[in-house]
Amino acid sequence: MIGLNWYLAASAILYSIGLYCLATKRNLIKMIIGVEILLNAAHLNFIALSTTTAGLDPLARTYVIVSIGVGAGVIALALSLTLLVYRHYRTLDVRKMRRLKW
Amino acid sequence: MMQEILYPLLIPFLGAIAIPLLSIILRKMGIERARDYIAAVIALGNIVSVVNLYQTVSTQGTITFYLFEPPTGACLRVDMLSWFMSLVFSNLGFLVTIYSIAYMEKDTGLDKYYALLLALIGGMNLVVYAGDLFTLFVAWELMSLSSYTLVSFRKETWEPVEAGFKYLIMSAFGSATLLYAISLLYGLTGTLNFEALHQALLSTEANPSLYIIIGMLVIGFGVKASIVPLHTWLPDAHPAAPSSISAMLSGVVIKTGVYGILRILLLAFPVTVLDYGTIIAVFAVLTMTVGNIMALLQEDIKRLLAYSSIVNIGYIFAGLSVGMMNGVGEAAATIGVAGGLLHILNHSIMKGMLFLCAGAFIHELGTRNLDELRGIGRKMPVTAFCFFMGCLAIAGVPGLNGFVSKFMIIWGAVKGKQLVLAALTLINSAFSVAYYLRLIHIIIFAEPRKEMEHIREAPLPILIPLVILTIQILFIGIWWEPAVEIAEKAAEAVLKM
Amino acid sequence: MGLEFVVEVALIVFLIMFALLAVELKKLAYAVASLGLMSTVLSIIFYILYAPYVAVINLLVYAGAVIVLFLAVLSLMKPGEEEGKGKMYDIIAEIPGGVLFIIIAVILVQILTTSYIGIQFAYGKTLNLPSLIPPQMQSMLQNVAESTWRVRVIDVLIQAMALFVAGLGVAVLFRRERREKE
Repeated sequence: MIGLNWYLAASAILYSIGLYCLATKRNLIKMIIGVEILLNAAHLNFIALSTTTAGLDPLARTYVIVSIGVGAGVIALALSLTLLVYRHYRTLDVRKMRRLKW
Repeated sequence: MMQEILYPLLIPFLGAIAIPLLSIILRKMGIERARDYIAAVIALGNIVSVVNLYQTVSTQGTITFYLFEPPTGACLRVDMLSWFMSLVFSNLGFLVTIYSIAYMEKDTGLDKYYALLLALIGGMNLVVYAGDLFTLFVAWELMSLSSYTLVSFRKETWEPVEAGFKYLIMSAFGSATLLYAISLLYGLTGTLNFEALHQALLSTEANPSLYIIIGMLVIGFGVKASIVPLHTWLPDAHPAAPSSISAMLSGVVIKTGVYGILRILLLAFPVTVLDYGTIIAVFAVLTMTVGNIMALLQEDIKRLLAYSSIVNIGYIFAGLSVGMMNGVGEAAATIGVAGGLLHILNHSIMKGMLFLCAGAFIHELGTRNLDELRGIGRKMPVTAFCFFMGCLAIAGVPGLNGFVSKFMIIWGAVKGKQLVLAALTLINSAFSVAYYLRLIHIIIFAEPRKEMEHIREAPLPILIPLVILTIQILFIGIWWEPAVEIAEKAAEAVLKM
Repeated sequence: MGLEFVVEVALIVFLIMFALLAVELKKLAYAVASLGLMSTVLSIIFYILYAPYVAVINLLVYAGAVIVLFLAVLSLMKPGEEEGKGKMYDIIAEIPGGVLFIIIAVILVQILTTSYIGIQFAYGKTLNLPSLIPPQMQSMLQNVAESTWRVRVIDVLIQAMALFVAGLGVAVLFRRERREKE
């Protein structure tokens, strides 16, 4: 087994990849991908931090299971909104929309 | 074990589940409209159950409910602050439900609208009743999910859909950041229960990773509360939503973010070690200044009101930041936090009412442009009077409720020797009068245009909430002692955890 | 050290590589596919970290259902529309973002791997993955089931409500407008 450091570093890098995706990508689908990467980073953190010498904490597993379910709901809603936006504009590019610039 | 605290959660949630089913039966019977009134009754039941809780909370201090012994098990925890927030939510939630009866009558999918509205109220109650960070997170997502959909409820036009998507992405980023911060806190302490967290971090030392966690928590909650660098979704999402929902969002949903920051920071991170109040104060001033400047430039009534919400979030944080500073003294901290909390209540009443009035104008005339709304107040005297009172109250005229809380915020800052903060808040508050006067001038005193001949007063279900909110404005403005007393109790509950 | 070390490091490298690919690939179908691969790798990591329940659910939901949803949405769009065009200014525009990403990543990794690990923990836990955790899988599974259905049942109920609300939301967004009866 490798140390906790590796997993913390991995989740930190995943988090920054998600942040980078949200900050620079101008495509609706890419933004949703960014959100999912952010969620995955947090989940990896929970699991890595709950695996200790003292034993395994089942609570963190429960947190991640519940959070996966809720996250899937958010992503489903985001995808249906994407479809509606696409119907109005026929494009997924944020720069061609009126208000979505930020 | 207190079953009472379940009612403010079960009533809206069971209502949300029942209304789509009930509406199928009602449609068969041909009285589909009855569903709207049933939703209003459920929202009223929610208020009654919250008010009912007051006696127990004020005598016992803190009530908890759990199915498995905390700190391991998930638990609900109600203290004075939670009760105060849920009262704010339920009050506006009920009035918005009544308002929707007339305002939304031409829309389709109303069974789902009322279900989502009740789920939103219940979700907000759950956010403030959560006794555990993870429970708070799941409740947070539940509340967010229903607000995303409500923003893009009128999906036929481009604006709500686009604004809804923007809101969803920014808010989901906030939630993910929040979850990341929660995972780091979990790693530090091994628990997420509020009381256990408090105990675990009581004797902590300043550490860079603690500041990272604080920053992430502030970002995560701050997206919902629209602190300035993270506010960009608000001026798009609030105008795009139906006016009833704008009132909900501006009035109460953004306050859940404020609650999150106040509760979690004061609970987990001892002020004496980590002095984060100054940072919050800087962001508060930034928030109100940017909001004020942007609000002056708006030509759209709802966009103007949305920016004014950002300004008021700035005032609220200015008050709360006094309580988070090291060495301001107990009295100043209590006054500052109580002022912030009272401003949450007052702003929910004032801004809720302004959005509902704007909705009434839009309902009758069908435009949001300030130029085209010129003089509409003369055709709708009751709505115009309410709008007038709301503008005066939010501008801080003495005798109305906005003055009381702004005064407390500034007084708290002065008493805590934060004179710069007090001065900047005062200047911003004076500056904001400009656009409220402009609003009053355009809506009420300008000559009506010719197209407005046919405009008549709004229907009764729209007027009832407006009048009730006006009475609340006057009531708190004139007889402010009980409201201030409750806000101070709530502030003490969070400061002396 | 040895084979285990190599496998775990390789998994982490794959995880980050697929995440980067999911962000950077121009063709959305490929990006979504690499998101699915990332979730699969993450599931394997969960399994290695003694979280088989989480691994299975992550595999089913994030590497399965969500990817299917993504692909279904993509299939409803015109093929030409979904692709970004790789022009020069795109690359230049991404330099600030890339620099920001590297700075944030370095700071986060630095702080988390040094000062975060060093904090004295309240409950006396030592936060280091040991080389030998007794993998009492049988009791672990029971523990997770118990902690989900008994200890955290309130959270599960709230999650069920959240999913109900999400379902309502999707129903609202795809509701058919009723024709006006004149």
